[in-house]
Amino acid sequence: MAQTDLNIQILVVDDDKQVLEVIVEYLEYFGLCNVKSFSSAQQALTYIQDTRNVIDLVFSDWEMKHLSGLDLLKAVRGNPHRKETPFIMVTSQGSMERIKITRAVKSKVDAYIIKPFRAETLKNKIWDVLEWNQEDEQAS
Amino acid sequence: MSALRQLQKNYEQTLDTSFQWNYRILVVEDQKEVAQSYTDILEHSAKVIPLQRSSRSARIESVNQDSPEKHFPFELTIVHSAAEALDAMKAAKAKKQSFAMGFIDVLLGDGMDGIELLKEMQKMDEDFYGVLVTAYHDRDVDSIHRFLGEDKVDQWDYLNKPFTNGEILQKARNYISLWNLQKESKIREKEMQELRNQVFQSERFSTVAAVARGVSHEFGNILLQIMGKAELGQMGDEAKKTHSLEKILEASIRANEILDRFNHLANPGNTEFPKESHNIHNIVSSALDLMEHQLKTQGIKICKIKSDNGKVFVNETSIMQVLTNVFINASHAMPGGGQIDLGVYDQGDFCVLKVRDYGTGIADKDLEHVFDAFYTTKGKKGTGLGLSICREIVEIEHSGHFKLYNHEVKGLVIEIQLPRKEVA
Repeated sequence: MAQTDLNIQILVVDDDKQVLEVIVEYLEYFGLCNVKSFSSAQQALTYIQDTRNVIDLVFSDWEMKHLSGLDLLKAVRGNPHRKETPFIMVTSQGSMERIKITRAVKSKVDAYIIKPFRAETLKNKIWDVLEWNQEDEQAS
Repeated sequence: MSALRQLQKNYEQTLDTSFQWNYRILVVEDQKEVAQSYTDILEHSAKVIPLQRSSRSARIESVNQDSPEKHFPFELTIVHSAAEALDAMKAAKAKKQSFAMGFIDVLLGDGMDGIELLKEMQKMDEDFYGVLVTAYHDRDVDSIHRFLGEDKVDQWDYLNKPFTNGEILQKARNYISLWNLQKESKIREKEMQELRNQVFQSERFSTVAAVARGVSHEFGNILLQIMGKAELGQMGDEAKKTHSLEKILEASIRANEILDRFNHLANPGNTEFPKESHNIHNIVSSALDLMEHQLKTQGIKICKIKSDNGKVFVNETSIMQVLTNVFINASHAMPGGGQIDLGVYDQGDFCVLKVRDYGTGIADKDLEHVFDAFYTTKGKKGTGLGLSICREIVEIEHSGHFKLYNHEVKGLVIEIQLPRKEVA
């Protein structure tokens, strides 16, 4: 179990502004306030490649124009400094989802979450990926 | 793809129903010895030189020299009066084993003569062919023609006694063949119509399915907005709650609009497709709204040129289906993104919608086949039905025109001409 650190840097990527807003609000509600949001994978990728800052978690939508979430995931895994960065993929329910998830798993996605989701599910996914103990946090 | 496979299976099954030929002949002859000669000729026609219908059947017949009638196993029913003939017709009809043709003696003793009898028989069974056989020249063919009527002109023939074996045999073969070929072509025509309906329905569903994938993504986003705002609102103060409720309402309205349009496409209400006055600009906008997600994801821009009021007399759902199909095709032609130009032009009694993409166009060798059902250049991605259905909707349902050609510079142009008023 890793030490819970609410100050970690999280990137959120979604081309739907309303969705982006809700996810950021959820994260803030969990106490995760060091969040950067991007409305396209291209913008996120530029940041990921250029910044020297540590990135602790990427949270990205799958279906976006030009670059998809999978393209972003592959680019992140292809970067020697970022290949271990935890990555959570967001998808919507649909017939192609299983195929997509298989492909994402091949590119070493850490978790995926299906839209729509509730606060508890989102929190569980993040805490699992970062190997944080939710009980620890409640106790402290 | 599974829908297509099912369709092909249906197609094979439907056409597999082998058609059984009907060899039943009714002979109406009051003289017993003449009646017997029909049996001799048609059932044991050993003396007759086999007919060579084609090189292929000639070969078969030369193999089967001793049974020349293998291909025409006639089933004879012989009766001796008009009353017996009508009873035989009735019985055959009841058993659903109607006669294909008959040889009818004109002079039948008391009562009805052969010509009158044939008229009665054809009233009972309009497909029945009658060959009138007479020894006397008392009725010429014109008077028989007038009596039987204009519409029966190809349903009867005439033969003088004494007849030769060859005349009887050949007439029997001719009319048996004619009856069966016509019956078979009617059955096949009906089957083809059924298949066309199936294809039409299935394509409608596959368009719906393509749109549904986009809609489901859209709904995931909207529901996340609703659930997220509700959950976060619950945990916040009054101001936060009010803001959340507004956002939830906004998202619900968006969902409802999508649902409305989708339902309209999936359930046309009835299969008659009633036409009304519409504005093509509105139909184009609705189709684009439905496709919004797919076009956006692929990075396709829409450029509209309006030089006409867009008044058309159409079935909105059908035209929506045509447009979504055309847009799906255009987006497949530009996988890396691009642009679709939409122009609406005046052409007198017609309004023309031109849709141009900036893809690779269609190779000349494929261009002439694009309207063939099951022809596709997309490999396993396409059913090859889209364009043929589009053309059917525009040209048959709406009496319009659906044209397609490569743009002289780049991409494909689809021209849809739609009538402005009801076409009689």
